[in-house]
Amino acid sequence: MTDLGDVIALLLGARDRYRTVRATLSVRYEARSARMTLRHQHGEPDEATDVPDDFPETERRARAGILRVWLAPPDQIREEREGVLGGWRLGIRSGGSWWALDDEGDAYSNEKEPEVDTDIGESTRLFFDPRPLVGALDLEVISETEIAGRAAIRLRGTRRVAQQPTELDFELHLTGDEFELDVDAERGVLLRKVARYGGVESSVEEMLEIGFDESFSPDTFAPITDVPVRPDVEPRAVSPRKAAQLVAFPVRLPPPLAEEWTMHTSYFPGDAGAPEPEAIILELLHEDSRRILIAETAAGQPSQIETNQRWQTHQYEGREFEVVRPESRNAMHAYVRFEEAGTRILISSNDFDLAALLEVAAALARGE
Amino acid sequence: MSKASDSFQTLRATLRHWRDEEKYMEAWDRHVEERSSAGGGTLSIVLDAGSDEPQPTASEATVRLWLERPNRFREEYEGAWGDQTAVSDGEHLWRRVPRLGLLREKASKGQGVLFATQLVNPAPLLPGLELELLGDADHAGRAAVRLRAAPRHVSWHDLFGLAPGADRYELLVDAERGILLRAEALLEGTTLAWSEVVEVAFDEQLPPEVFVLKPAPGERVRTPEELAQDFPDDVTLDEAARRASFTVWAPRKMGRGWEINVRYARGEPGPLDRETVMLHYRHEKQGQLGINETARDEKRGASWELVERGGEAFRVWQRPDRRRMPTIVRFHKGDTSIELQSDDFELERLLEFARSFAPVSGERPRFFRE
Repeated sequence: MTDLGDVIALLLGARDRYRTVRATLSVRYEARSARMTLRHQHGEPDEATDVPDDFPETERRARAGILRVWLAPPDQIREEREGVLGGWRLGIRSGGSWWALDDEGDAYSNEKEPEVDTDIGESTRLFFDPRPLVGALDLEVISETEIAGRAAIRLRGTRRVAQQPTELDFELHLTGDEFELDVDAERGVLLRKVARYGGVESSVEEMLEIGFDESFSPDTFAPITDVPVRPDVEPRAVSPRKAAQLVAFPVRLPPPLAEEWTMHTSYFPGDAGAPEPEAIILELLHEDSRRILIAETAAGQPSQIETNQRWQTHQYEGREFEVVRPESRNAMHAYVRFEEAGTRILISSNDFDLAALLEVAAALARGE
Repeated sequence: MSKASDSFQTLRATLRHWRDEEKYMEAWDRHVEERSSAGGGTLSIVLDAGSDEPQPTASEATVRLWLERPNRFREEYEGAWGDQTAVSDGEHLWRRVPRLGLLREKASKGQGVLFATQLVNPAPLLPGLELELLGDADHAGRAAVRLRAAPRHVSWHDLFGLAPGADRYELLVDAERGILLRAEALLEGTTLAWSEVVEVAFDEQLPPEVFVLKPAPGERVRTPEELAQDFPDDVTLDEAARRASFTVWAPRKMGRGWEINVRYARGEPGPLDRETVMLHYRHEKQGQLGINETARDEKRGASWELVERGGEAFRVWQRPDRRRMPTIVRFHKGDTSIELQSDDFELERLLEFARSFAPVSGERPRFFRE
């Protein structure tokens, strides 16, 4: 039986034992996600299991497919996905630049915004550099095996209790409480990773084919040029009069502002991809930098910002508004929304309480 | 090292820690720069010692530790940050902390000792270090293995011998158990911090009372929920002005794009020693600005450099030699002392902000013309 120390040395040095990797993986995520299992076992809230409440939900539906990877460290990777896997259909990263195609065939890139990062390569990161697992998991050698025609050492890993949890600790927590890892006996990369919660498999990722130190064609990491990159849609400053001409719904303006206030108007043409409707945005700015934002859209066309809020009905000056009360949890953001004569109006602020927003809402509703 | 925390049923140890404050902070700056350039998130915190006097150049601490697997421990810290004790019987966790008093909460898996985490469980260090075997040694009566470690990716926090930002660590690993008997952090050949085991015993029978912390007569025990009531509240600027016993002031005419967060702390009992209004201004492109306001106290900043602009006096603290240390401006208006700090703006810009401050009435500003 292989000594655990030798396997740890293999894992720690894996990244230095290849020049390039080309791999095909079979990937399967079960519908019963780890987070749902945690909830089932411990109930809400998730703090009971040390999962941060704002940690993103794992995908609830079962997913399975094939993932192909071309990796040329330190900074080139290409991923292609087949089947229902989520993530990019095609992702390419080369140096600090990246290009990607989603399931709808839309193209994305950071060419114009180099500071925008990407998750391309993240889902297989631990396969080709399993070093972080040595810190996060308590490992035990189980047996010797063979995966994709290569000799492997099977390990059992259980999560260590982390007093200073890293992102990897959270990632593993959401995947499983026990892992089976097949480590390439020569190179130290992972050939198979199975995650289990309470003994039940929650994901299986397995190498079907792997080749090391091949030379790739320059096209492998070339930018995606055959599909135009989706442009970002940004609001642009306009006058209130121009705004009223641009949109298909009636624009409602507040009454003349008091001395310490200024109003800035911008037009947002709408973004079908986001999706966000066409909107007029009025920013009421006090000279001490406090502000109130008013977004106006056509009636029946809510902005994405309205979703996932705890809306309540509230009576003010004899009419009904929907409101979200400010609280520390949402950084004190208060919201008021209503529809009037073909226009949907959303008022929000981090700086003023609900009563203040209702005063503005009532003035807009009156159309003074 | 991978199995160190499994190598004993109980552990009793005395540890000593030392760090050079200046060099430690220099290394921390370096760590923050590296993490930032690698895309990692970092947070700079400036601790206010409540005094304008120079802080000690080095700090020392002694920690006495009792551990019983899987989850009972007692840790007694004596040092520069005030004596403190943490005890867990596996079900409850007690912490006696300076200023906060005695706290009790339900124990959870992730909680543990604060001042010896990496020494008794060094496994999480392994992925982040490039280790080189140097030879054998003895330390605290134990056979040890000497290692030199170069950091590859430091993802941990450590206040002493495994200080982030060091460019080299010298380690002594217990040859039998795998725990660290000594860790020394160096930067450009100079020691910036170390931690070491002075005495250690494994697998002794530890008396059950070690893992219980009894309140002293009359000592109040609080839960985290009760403690949270003493922590600053998120409020609107108007609400802060209504609550504060002093006039609240805010900068004017800073332009568009600022997000403002306002917190009010009533002072004792609580983590702050005085009633404080905290304003945090954040601009996506320009940077961040922190403002703390308290009742007027002429002593605050009195020993700092005096700067005058437009007939107003400001006290200034800055460290141009330290990359990520903020510049701090203190001044007084009416019954209020104001502290303005930022590491994103030059001093002259901060002074411009300071000169624009106007009182906040507590009444919501009128929105519309009469």
